Amino acid sequence: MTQMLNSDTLRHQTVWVCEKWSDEACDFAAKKLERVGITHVPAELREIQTPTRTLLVPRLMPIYEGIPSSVLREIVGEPEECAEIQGNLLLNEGIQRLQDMTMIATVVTNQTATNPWSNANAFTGVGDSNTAEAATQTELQAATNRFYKAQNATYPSRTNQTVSFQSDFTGTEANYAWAEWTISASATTASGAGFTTGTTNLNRKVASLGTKASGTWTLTAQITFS
Amino acid sequence: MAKPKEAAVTSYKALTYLHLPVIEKDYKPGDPVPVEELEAAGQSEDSINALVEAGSLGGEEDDVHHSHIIPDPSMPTIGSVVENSRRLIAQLEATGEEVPDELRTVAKLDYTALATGDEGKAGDANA
Repeated sequence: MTQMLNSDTLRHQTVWVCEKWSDEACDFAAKKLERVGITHVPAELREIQTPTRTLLVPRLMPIYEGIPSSVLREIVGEPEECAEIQGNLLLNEGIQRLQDMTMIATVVTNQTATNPWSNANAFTGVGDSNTAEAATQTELQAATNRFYKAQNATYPSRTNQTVSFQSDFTGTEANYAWAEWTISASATTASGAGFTTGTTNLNRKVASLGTKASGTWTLTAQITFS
Repeated sequence: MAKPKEAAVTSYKALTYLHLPVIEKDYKPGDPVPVEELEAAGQSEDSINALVEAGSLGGEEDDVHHSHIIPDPSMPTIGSVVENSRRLIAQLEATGEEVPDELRTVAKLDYTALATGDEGKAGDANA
């Protein structure tokens, strides 16, 4: 039998938005909070295991460790700089996870039907390697400078066919050249309030977003399928 | 891939989907990737070597990455082979013919799919 393969196209587009608040803006917000007696602010959500259930509660972050974007927006206003970059490459392991979770009858040994890109399980990762995007990659390509941060509250979210991911990188987090970034399901190897190893990476983008030295940078990825 | 002699390399072959930054160009598995385009995309020798060693770039004689080979929908699975073996044993036994040991071994294979977890673990280490 001769097999005829027609190639249809699954289109996806990704818009990455990087919002940057300077160290001065964070200091201004911290001092303003301190004047009204606030020493900690809610940051990314984390899982708390109780004897009977798993709870998602925000980590209380000292204001001199960092200021999340939600607080900066209220006190300082819009970010001082905003960069928008389009495009990314879906990685094979990310595509396979999407398929495993939605369209297989039975899970076999090289498949998994758990660990989605949920709020508690999705991470935005940033690294400093500009090695080209390749679908077989399974990690950011930076040897050491890479950092995965949990999602902000309410992310990821979906509107129509667009899913948005967002993480805040505060104070001392990911302070190096931002040359690559990714969305990961799960992450390991703890480092501060984040991790250094992504488990199942959905995609990867290489472009320069500048060098973070301090302050709060917020990275948002909007992925649209059509 | 055995890396071609440095001076002779003018083009690689994409073994997976590639996207070069700066020039923002896409490549499908099997497409040629000229060295001058890699250089225009700011890819250092280290980056190119990393792509070669990871099996993303190769030479003309290299096969594309196995994950991009579309499987024949009629190809046998472990489950179908085991089921066919059991059916064949039943037929042989019904006709009184000898059943080879190898066939019985295959028919006894446990191909039950396994529920797997994931090695990764999310959560805040500082919690």
